[in-house]
Amino acid sequence: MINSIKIPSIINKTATALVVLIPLAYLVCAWLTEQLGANAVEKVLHTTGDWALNFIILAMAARTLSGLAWLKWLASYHRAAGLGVFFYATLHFLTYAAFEHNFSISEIISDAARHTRIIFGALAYMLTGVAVVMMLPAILRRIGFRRVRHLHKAAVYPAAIAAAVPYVWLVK
Amino acid sequence: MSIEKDPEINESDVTPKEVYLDRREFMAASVSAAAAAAFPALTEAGGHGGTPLKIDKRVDYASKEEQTSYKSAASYNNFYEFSTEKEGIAELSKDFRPRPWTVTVEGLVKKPKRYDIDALTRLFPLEERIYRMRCVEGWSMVIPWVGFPLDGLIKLSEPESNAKFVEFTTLHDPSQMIGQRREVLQWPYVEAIRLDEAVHPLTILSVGMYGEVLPNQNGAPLRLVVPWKYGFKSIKSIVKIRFTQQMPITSWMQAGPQEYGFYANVNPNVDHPRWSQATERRIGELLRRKTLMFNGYAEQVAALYAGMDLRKNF
Repeated sequence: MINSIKIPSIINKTATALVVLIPLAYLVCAWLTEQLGANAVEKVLHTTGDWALNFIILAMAARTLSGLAWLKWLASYHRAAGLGVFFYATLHFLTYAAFEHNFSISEIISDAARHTRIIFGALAYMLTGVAVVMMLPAILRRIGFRRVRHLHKAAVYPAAIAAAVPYVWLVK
Repeated sequence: MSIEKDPEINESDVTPKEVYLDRREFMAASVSAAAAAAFPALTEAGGHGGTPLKIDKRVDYASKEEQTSYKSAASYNNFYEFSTEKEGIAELSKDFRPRPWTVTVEGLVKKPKRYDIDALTRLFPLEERIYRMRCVEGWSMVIPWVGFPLDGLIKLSEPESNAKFVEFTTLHDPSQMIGQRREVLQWPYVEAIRLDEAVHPLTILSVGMYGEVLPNQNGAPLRLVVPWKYGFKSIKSIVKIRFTQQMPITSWMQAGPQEYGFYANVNPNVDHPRWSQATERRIGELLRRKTLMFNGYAEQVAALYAGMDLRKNF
């Protein structure tokens, strides 16, 4: 029954985009009301990283659970969740580059060279980027849908594992 | 290490007989004089909700760098006795009981003693010391501590000639300190410094901050502050001070010997195995700043480590 609810596409897309943006909205509000705590940069870094990981889980859930007949409608949200991963991963990287290293490329490379978790994070981000780019219509058409399906899985599963590494390794 | 000549008692140090005979009246008069002098302090104090302290002397040891807000200093704390989450400590420690409290001085000293915390504090005039505080995790603050030089207590205790280290122990009470119910670290928390580091003029025992008594989350009622070392050396809620001949094994040395050494001097050239120590985030600032050798106290303390390999002795 739930599969047959018809929502106009534009409303669906807008609503989905807004839902994906909720964590960002929370961060902005918290920053404006000084509720990010004493170490605001660390809070933002952790929150954006957490939500990149959360959206990985949501994307995988949407894909897997949509196999159940009554949850078929979830499949259409897989793409939004994947974009959510890329969105928060980008914010996470930008926060790191700006506030940890003042956008210095040499500092970032030096940090990565000495600390493996940075390499894993960078790898996860690049794989996520690849996974997003290959779904662009122009690229999708050239590579072919079947091949892209395989490539996409080959990118996102390692990305998910690589993304978990910095999270786990930062426990003091 | 040999102790320099014992402080000599002079004729002039002897309490005058009239004062001695009237000592109770003398004490009462001094206390009320102190209280009267404290009333201006009551209005001066930052009004953070704590009991104001009477401060005799104020020295800025942080080169006029901006003080961290009281709100940040009292809400961002590493105090695993309560929780490993820095922002929950104030709430979890709000019912902690810093009274009654005793501090035992024991080990290789001629005058071991169990002090009531208030009696101990009354022995020394209180100073405000504005120090940088640098956490090993890579963040830092500038905090106006209130306390007295540890050397004052050490002189009173008269260490034996073979005493080389001073070991400090935190309270062990899982009924109040709920983080101690898990073996996150071996409880009780133990820290130690060399005797020459302990008698150094910068080393203080702190009973307050921002003009008021220490909040529970900052280590009430008594903590150590060694500003040129990483913050975990500045042990909180002290119940025991013990003088030893052998180098004690501290809690963090025990928990992670590859990562946490005995000296823990702030050193931008010696990285933590998992992160760089070259820069730090000053709480309240957006961009990181360069970490200073010995947290900016090189001029005062570098001589303590002359000739030492600071990478090996980290």
